[in-house]
Amino acid sequence: MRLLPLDYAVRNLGRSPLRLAMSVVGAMLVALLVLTASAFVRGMERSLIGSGSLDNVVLLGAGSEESIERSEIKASVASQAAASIHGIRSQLGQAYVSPEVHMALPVTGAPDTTTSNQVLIRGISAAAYLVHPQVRIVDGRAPRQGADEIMLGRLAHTRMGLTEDAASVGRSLYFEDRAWKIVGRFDAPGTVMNAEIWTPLNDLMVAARRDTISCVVLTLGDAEFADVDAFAKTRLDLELTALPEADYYGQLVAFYTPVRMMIWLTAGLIALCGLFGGLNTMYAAFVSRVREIGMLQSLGYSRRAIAISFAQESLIAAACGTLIAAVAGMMLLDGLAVRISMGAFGLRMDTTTLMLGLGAGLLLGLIGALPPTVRCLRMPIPAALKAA
Amino acid sequence: MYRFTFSLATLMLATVLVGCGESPSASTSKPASLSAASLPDSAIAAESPGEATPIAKLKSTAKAGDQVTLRAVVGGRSEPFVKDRAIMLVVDATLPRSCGVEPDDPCKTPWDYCCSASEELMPNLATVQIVDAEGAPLKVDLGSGPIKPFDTIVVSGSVGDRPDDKTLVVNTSSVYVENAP
Repeated sequence: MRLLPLDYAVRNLGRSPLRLAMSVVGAMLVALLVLTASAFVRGMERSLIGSGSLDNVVLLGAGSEESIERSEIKASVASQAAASIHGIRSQLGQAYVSPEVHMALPVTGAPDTTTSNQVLIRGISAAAYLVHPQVRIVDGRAPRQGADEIMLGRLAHTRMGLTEDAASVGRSLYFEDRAWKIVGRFDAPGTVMNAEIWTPLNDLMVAARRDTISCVVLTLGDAEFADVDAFAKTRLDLELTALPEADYYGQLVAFYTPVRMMIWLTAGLIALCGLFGGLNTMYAAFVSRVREIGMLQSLGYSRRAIAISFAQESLIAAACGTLIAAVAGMMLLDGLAVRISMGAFGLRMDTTTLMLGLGAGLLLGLIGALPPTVRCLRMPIPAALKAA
Repeated sequence: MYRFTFSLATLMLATVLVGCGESPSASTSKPASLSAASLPDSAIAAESPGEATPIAKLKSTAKAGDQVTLRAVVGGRSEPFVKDRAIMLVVDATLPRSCGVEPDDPCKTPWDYCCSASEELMPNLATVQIVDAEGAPLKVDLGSGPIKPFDTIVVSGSVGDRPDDKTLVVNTSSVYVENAP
């Protein structure tokens, strides 16, 4: 089969700059939409899955397996677990056992502000830095006990709806009827902790007037999960449940499945609209070239060769739009903070996302060209040559 | 023209590769534990060990080291077994089942007694450990063996350490399953 030269397809693109612009912009919008949807879903999944370490086990109240914030256990559980479970990781005599309080509280940037957003406040001890090694202090220092000091995750200001400046070191935030001075900022890439506020455990317990903690997070050394589970099931007085930390956050991933489905459905529907728009543009572009198609056939080019040339033309236009979308996505969307009920996370432009975006754009170019081409090629050569 | 098309294709490939420099997940992997052995035949008794005492009564009277017999239902939590250890939670057989009684009950884990109040469940909840000669729980996965949640079992054994009157751990070498096939 004799194919039309590639130059022919490329040069044809320039015959109607307006039509070319429409094709490129259409492909760009569809690709950008798919990129955004994928970056949202993958960013959310990554922040939840990345929050749970495979070595960590969470001890929380029996019956509160679905939400640590609802859990209440005795403050003594941490020391009892450290003493009873052999094989917990330790460093220089410090066991990796972190008692924590998790509370979602309304936080404001000013004392007299009535509008507030719920933010997860985590009461921590020094052991929290051992069991959550993802956390790095990037500005200021860790909060000191007894001074109403707090440390903010990198995305916490997004969760609160504040500017980064309003939540910078030296400023104050307000919750539980008192001012809390920001003394540090931390980064825990790809985890839900990035949207949290951390403060010393005792300070939060005093402010919230509670004498129980939410959970104990411990890191396994030689011990296995079974050893921790055995502790929880033999110490019935403590009313505990042991959960691998990764499983806990895995449950949250499952909880957000309907949200992810809705995002994909919306993206799919809008992409379909883009496809119909693309089809319309291609129909208009190809119908006006019926005589040209007839001429090419009379010169000896097969219908398949002409169809391939038209597909090349459409694919090149779509590829240009898709590439623009990919560059725009990398520059504007990657890492962009998004606020959801659980906290906040950054959009994620990874290989899978880019593959999906590029695939969607190219598919649009290919599918958009086929029906109009087939329609034009059906016409007999004499009729095509006589077409107006 | 070919150069233009080649450049376009190269750009697309490069765009995909840009995303390849992903940092690995913060999670660290831990080698999976060796698969647990199966429960020895001797751990399943052929006959009931005798007359049982209610768990609530044992919790108020039994001391560490006492020989006791209890009749109970495997349950009390949605996951009553400890994976890879012969440890299970049991609820006294006299406590009425509040979940899973009706055939169309939507509760997926009725053996957790979630419909019973904690004040009602806790006094009737105990832990049973099938132990070896040294007194350590066997490293077997009871959940994949002959004992299932909601099975009624009769256990005779010695009472373990009692840090308070809410905790009752019975160490035994065998379990009689009433409804075993």
